[in-house]
Amino acid sequence: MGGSKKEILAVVTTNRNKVSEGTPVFYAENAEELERTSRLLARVLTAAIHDLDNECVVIVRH
Amino acid sequence: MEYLFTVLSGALAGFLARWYMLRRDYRQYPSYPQGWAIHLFLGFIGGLIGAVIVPAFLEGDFSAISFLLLAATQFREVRNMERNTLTAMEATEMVGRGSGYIEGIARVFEARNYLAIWVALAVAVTSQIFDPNRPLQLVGGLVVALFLSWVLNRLMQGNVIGDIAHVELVDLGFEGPLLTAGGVSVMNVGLAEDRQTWLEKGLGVRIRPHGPDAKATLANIGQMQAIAHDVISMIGLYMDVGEQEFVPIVRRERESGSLVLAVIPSEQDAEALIAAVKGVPVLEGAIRKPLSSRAGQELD
Repeated sequence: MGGSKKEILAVVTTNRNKVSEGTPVFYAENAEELERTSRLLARVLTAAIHDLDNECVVIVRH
Repeated sequence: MEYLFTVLSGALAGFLARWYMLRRDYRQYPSYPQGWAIHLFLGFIGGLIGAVIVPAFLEGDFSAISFLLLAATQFREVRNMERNTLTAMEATEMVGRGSGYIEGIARVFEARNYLAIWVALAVAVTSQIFDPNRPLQLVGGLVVALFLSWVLNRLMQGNVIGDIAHVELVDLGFEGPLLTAGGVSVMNVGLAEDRQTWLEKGLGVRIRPHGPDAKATLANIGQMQAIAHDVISMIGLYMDVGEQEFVPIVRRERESGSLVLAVIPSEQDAEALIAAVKGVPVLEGAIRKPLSSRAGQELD
């Protein structure tokens, strides 16, 4: 809480038009795959999953 | 050795006072038994310093007194020691104490050694006044030691959250991906499955401050983190390592200055949660008293 260095580690999305280069992006075919991929990524990275509510999910280290 | 009785009784009183001030509660800090051994020994040294000042003074040995006072200042190191230990252990905590809480704990440990020195000094003075009447020295020392330890310990006791705020249960909900507790958005939970877990197992409380002073005190990040840490150490945690979506979070309601806490405890017991929140100490470093200023009074 406060003062921690936050960082977007990856973006998982079902919409290719919503993301640009710069961060690792993982495309998912559908909402289920999106959930599964982001869950697996978050476990590997021990990071949190946040939903941007626009078909994108970001994996963030807090 | 004409001062033996005075020195021994003073040192013993300081040691026992330090012992009396050691708490073994839910925090398990200082840890038992090694942490205790460290602090009891430091308390004994403090007691000895306090006790030896009296004969040194009576003998007119002022260089000895200077050295003793110099030695007493070494207790500053206690604060450093505690801070370093706790900061090093922070990475091993699922929910950290936060630097505000660590500073508070470190300060308490330093202060308690000084209290032990005061007690030892007072007992040594009493003993010397009644010298050489041994029974009177013993009884007088005992009375002074008990009274002073009790008073000092009482004066050093801070408030808990239950003293400065009202704690009530609130419902958890979601606005899109945002977890809300009593309408205050707390954090973004990305996956539907995790949102379901929050709704099923999670609990929320609102901490409503009594007045502007309490409001300003609660608006401290260290205090907020201390609440999350202490509640978890009292009622347990559901999350696993790295599962940041289940981290207990404290957030502030802008309008009222209330805090909300969203947490998934290991057992869903609302009564226990409220009792735990009420029992969290108010950090000395977080206390603010805006009402003591003219500007604050005009606002109220």
